[in-house]
Amino acid sequence: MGRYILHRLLIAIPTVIGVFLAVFLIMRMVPGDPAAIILGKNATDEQIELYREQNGLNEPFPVQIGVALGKFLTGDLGTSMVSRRTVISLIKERLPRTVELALWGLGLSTLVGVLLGILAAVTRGKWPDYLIVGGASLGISLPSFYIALMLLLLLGAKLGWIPVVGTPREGVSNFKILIAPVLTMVIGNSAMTLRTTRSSVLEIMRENFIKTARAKGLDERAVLFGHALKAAAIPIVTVVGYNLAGCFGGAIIIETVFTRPGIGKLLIDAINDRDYAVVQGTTAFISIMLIAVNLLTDVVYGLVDPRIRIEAKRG
Amino acid sequence: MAEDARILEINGLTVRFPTSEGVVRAVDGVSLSLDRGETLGVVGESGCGKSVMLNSIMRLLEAPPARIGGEILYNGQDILKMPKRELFRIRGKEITMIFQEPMTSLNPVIKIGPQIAETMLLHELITKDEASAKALELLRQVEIPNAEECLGKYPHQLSGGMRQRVMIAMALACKPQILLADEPTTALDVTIQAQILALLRKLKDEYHMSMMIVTHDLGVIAEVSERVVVFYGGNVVEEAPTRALFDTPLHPYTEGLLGCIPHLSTKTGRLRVIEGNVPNPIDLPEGCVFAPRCPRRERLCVEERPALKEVGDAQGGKRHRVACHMA
Repeated sequence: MGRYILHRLLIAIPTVIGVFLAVFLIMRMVPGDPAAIILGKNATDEQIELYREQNGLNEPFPVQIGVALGKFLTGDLGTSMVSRRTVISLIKERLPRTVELALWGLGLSTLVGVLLGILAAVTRGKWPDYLIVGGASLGISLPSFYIALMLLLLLGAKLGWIPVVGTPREGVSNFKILIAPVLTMVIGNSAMTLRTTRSSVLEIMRENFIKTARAKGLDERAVLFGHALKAAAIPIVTVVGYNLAGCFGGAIIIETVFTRPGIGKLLIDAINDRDYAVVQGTTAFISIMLIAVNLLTDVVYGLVDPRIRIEAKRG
Repeated sequence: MAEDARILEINGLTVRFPTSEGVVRAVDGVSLSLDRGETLGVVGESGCGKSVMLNSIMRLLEAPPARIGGEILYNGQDILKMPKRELFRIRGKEITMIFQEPMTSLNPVIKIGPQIAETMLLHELITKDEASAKALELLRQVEIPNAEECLGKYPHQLSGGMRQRVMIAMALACKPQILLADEPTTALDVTIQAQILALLRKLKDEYHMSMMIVTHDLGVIAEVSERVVVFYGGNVVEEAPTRALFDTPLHPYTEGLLGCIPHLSTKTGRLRVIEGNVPNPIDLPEGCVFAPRCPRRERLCVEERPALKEVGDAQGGKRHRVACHMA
C-alpha cells in the first residue's frame, strides 16, 4: 500500500507541472495586458512599459516560463501584481472558506444522496422512487450557477433570510452565509450520489449472496443494511470522491455568485485582473488538491473492499 | 404411512411468472413429500421447474411477480401462508439451503467467521464469542483445513470447493431439520463433487436431517439419495426408491434420461439422446407434458394429462409412482 501511494505521488508531479504550464500558456494567449489592466485607463505608455519591465513581462516567453517554473518548484508561487501580497498568503487566507463550503456541501450531499438512493432502491417502481429519481434528474440537469442564482433570489432578495452578499462580517451568523452555497452544492451533487446508490443497491440485491442472506432468516432490513450496503459501497465511494473534487471545482462558480471570498473567487478575480501569478498559483493548488482527493478515494476503496486491499498488499 | 413421518409435504404446488409473452408455468401442480431422515433427489433438465420448486419451499421467490399456489406443509404448517415473523424464524434455523454457485453465494466483503456466526446470533441466544467458537467447530466438521485461519479470510481467498464447504457449515449452524440443496455440486470439479457429496451424506446422518437435493445429474442422485422424484415440464412424472428407478424406470422420459448416460461398454459411436426439446413453459401441452417427445405416444396422451399412479410393490414402504397412461 505504501509503495502504491508513493507511486501515485510520483506520477502526480508531472501532472501538476503540466497543469502549471498549460495555465501559463493559456493566460498569455488570452488578450489583455496585465499592466494596462492594473494601472487603469489613465496610465501613460511609459508607466505601462515601466511596469512590464519591473514585473518581467518583457522577457521572452521561454525565460518567463523558466523563471515561473523554477520558483514554483521551490515552493514559491510568486506575488500578486494587484495586491502585492504573496500568492501563498492569499491562498492561506481564502482556503478555510472554500474548505468549509466544500466539506459541508460534500457531507450533506452524501448523506442526502445515499439515504434517498436507498429509499428509491427499496421502493423501486413505486411513487417515492419516481419522485426521487425525477428530482435527481432535475438536480443533475440544472447548472449550479442557475441553482445558486435562484436560491439567492428566493432566500436573499424575496424572503430576506440570508444576506445577498456572502462576505463574512460582524453581526451576520456563519449559518446564514453558508446555507445557500451549501444548498446549491447539495442540490447539484447529491443527485449523482443518489443515482449511483440506487443502481448499485439494486444491482447488489440481485446477487446470489443476498439470497443466501435471506435464506439465513434475516429480515429485509438486515439484508439491506447488513449485507447489501457494504457490498454496494465501492461505486458510492467513487462518486463521493468525484463529488469532493467537484465541490472544489464547483466552488469557483458558487463563490462567485454568492460573493464568498474563497479560493474560487480568488481565481476568478485574478483571471479578470490578468493577475498571472495568482491564477497560476491557485490553479496549481487546486490541481494538487484534486490529485490528493483521487488518491484518498483509492485508499478508501481498500478500506471498503477487502478484494482490493489484498491485491494492493501483494503488489 | 404415519402422518408425522412426513416432515415436508407439498400439495398441488403451482408457480407462475407473468411475462410479456404470456404466463410461464414453471411449476404446474406438483405434489411430493419428504420423510424424516430421508434424502430425496429431485432430477430433471434445466428449466423443468425443480429449482423454482425448491426456492418456493423457503419462499425465496419474489412474489409478486411470481404467483404461487397450492400448499407446502412443514410439520403440518403451511409455509406459504405463514406470517413473516414465523417464516424468518424457520428460515436458516429449521430449514436451510445451499446453492449452486458457491463462488457468488457468500458476501464478498464479510469475513467467513462472521458470516457463519451471523445465523447463530440471529436464531440462538449466544454471545459473539460463543458463536465464533461454534463457527470454528463447524468449519472443522466440514473438513476445512486450517479452520482457524479460514475464519478470518474473505470468500475470494477460498476455492469453489472450500466456499461450498463454508456454505454447508453455514447451513448446519443451527442444526436444521431440513437441508435443501440446489445443484450443490454442479459448479465444482468432478473430484471435488465427490468429496462434497460424501460430506453431505456424512453430515446428514450426524445431524439427523432430512435432505432434498435438486440436480440434473443422475450420478449425484445415485450417490446420495434414497428416493427420487423426476421432474419434467413443471410436473412430477415419476417417483420411486432410487434403486427401483435405476433398475426399472417406468416413465418413457426416465428411461430416456437413463439411456443418455454413456457407458464405456457401449461400442456404438453415437450417444443416445431424447429427441426434441423441453416444452415451452408458456405453452405447456394439454395432455401429458412429455407426449410431444414420447416414443410410446398414443391419442390419449395428447388429450389427457396422466395423474401419478402407484405401480408395482412398495419397497420398504416407499412407493413407485408414475404419471404415464402407458405404464
